[in-house]
Amino acid sequence: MIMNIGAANSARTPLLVIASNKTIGEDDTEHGIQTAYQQSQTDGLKKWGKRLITPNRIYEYAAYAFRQLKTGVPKPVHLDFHGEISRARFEEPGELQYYYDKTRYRTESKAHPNPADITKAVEMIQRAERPMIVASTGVFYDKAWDPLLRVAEKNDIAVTESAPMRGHFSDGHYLSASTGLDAVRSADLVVLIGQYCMPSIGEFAFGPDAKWIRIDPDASDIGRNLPIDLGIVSSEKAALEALEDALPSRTRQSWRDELAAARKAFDDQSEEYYNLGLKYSADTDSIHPAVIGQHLHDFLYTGDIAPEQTTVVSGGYGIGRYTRRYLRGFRPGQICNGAYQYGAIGPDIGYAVGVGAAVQNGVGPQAPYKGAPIFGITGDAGAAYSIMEFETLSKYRIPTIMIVYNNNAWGVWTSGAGRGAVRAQHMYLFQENLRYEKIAEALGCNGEYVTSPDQMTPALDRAYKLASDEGISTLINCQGKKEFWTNQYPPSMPRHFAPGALAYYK
Amino acid sequence: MIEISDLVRSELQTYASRGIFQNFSVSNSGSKNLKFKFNWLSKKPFSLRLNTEKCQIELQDVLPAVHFRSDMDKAFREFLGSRSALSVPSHRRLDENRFAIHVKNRHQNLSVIVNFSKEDATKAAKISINLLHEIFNNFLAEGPYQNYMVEVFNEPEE
Repeated sequence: MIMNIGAANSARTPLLVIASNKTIGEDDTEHGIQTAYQQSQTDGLKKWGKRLITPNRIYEYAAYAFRQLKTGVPKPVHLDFHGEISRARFEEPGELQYYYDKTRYRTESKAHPNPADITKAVEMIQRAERPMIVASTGVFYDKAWDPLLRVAEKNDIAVTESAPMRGHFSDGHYLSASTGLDAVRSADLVVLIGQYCMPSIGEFAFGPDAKWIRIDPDASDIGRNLPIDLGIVSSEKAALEALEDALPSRTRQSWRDELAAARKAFDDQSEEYYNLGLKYSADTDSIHPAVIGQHLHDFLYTGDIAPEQTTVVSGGYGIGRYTRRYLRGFRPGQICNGAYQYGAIGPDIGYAVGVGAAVQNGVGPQAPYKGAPIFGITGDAGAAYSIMEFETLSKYRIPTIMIVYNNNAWGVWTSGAGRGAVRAQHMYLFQENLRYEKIAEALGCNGEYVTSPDQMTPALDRAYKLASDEGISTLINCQGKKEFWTNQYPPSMPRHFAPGALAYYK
Repeated sequence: MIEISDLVRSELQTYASRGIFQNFSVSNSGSKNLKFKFNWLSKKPFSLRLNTEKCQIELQDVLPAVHFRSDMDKAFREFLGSRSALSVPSHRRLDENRFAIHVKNRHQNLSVIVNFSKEDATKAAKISINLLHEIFNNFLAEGPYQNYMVEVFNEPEE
């Protein structure tokens, strides 16, 4: 639970944690079970927290909680309450303290940019030859993807993404730089919009001569970690709408050409990894992660399924470094990056339950794809933490296809003997070729075991049909080799690159 | 006449003033060899030596623990050689008529030397810094060097 709250905190998720406690009347007696002072346990992992003590102030503190969740930059809110609170009953609003109608407890108003700042931003954008927007968490939360598209197209500004979710600027757009890594290096002006989790110098691969504009609703955060040339305090949508009005129309053909070349180079490298992966798979009677990634890509985006349909929970440690390369976001909320910033191991299947429920019920940007199966990716270490969630998936018929990359080890296993810790090596290893899909079967789901490239697509086909037709989830256990992370199989474990499709923590 | 040392120092100072470099320092100021040190893309500080007589900037020991003639050594030399290729965007392409790049591997430490003419001193400083960026965010980022970065640069595994 704490790890998941930590993950939500890093991702700036407006998560409401409501947790019960023992009674005040028995405080300090250890009568019964589960005495704990909770608020300190979530220190540093939340935006706001309160231990509710006075029953007739429940309404007031609920209002506090939702003001924190629904305004500014969100993060988890933790309310804990003792037994006297949960047993309290009220008949009339007059019995509650600090009660007033819920239409009055907070504002929907948001900050708008200073016109002088927008003028400066326009000057900087016009001087730039290769401007790039980094559309981050705030663009998604403010539902600002439409003005983002209009701004990008009006002035030919490239867009990449950095967030716990991808797709608010389509990877299929001619101005997308999410898979154009080399174009990131070329940008001479970077506009960070809604970048709540700020990179430090060097974490984003922009060059040393690039200028920086940061647009954020929180003035106190602008200038943190990364020195900026212009800061604009505003909600993301308001800033983008103001920029759209102020920017002139412009075509930057050489920048478009460079973006296209960068995307092609990325695709060529993905193809190279796939071909290497096929060879390594054949050499080892297993399936290499690049092969998994390519087959998944083809299944989701070039086959019978509409490319923008499938929501993917992109998790895993080592496997994620490959599959991220092959996943695409064509619409808001299409890719959910569970590992964002916190790098928690293990929540991926639980995360898929939440994402699956959102799609199952057609919530928010998932509405057009209501009821569609979702996919998730995790590793064997990750599956070990939350494999019981297959029971939840089965019980609620949440149609999920979970790929578990099984390489018989923790992703950091090369830290063992490979770095001299020979006696510790065993701690990094699992028993070989464990059949995780049998656990899913025992929990009411379907299981597939894939040990070679030619088995992957048929397994995806079967799993998708079951999910689509009957709401039955599948665990696809893909048997890999831990040695793929060593120098014996270059590129071994690919490195992170941010921002864009390969980003892991930012 | 503005000295080469002043031009290079001024250019590098700009990066420090903008917060790109941390802990920027200059030593041997006034001699023909200036040494600049700064933290930027790794925990280990970068060291840049300017030889004003030879018009050379040396990025010293940029990549340690690389065996001479190893695959990584060869790949690195190829990478630097490719910086003047037509496939590199023109604004990042190295003009080999103005700047000559050499690689030195001494005691398994790779250094890069940028040779320039006097009138290109400011540009040479900029190119050197951008080369450093390309080495860390292109060569090392896109090549099979995850284990190298963990073992040599002490980057976290994750």
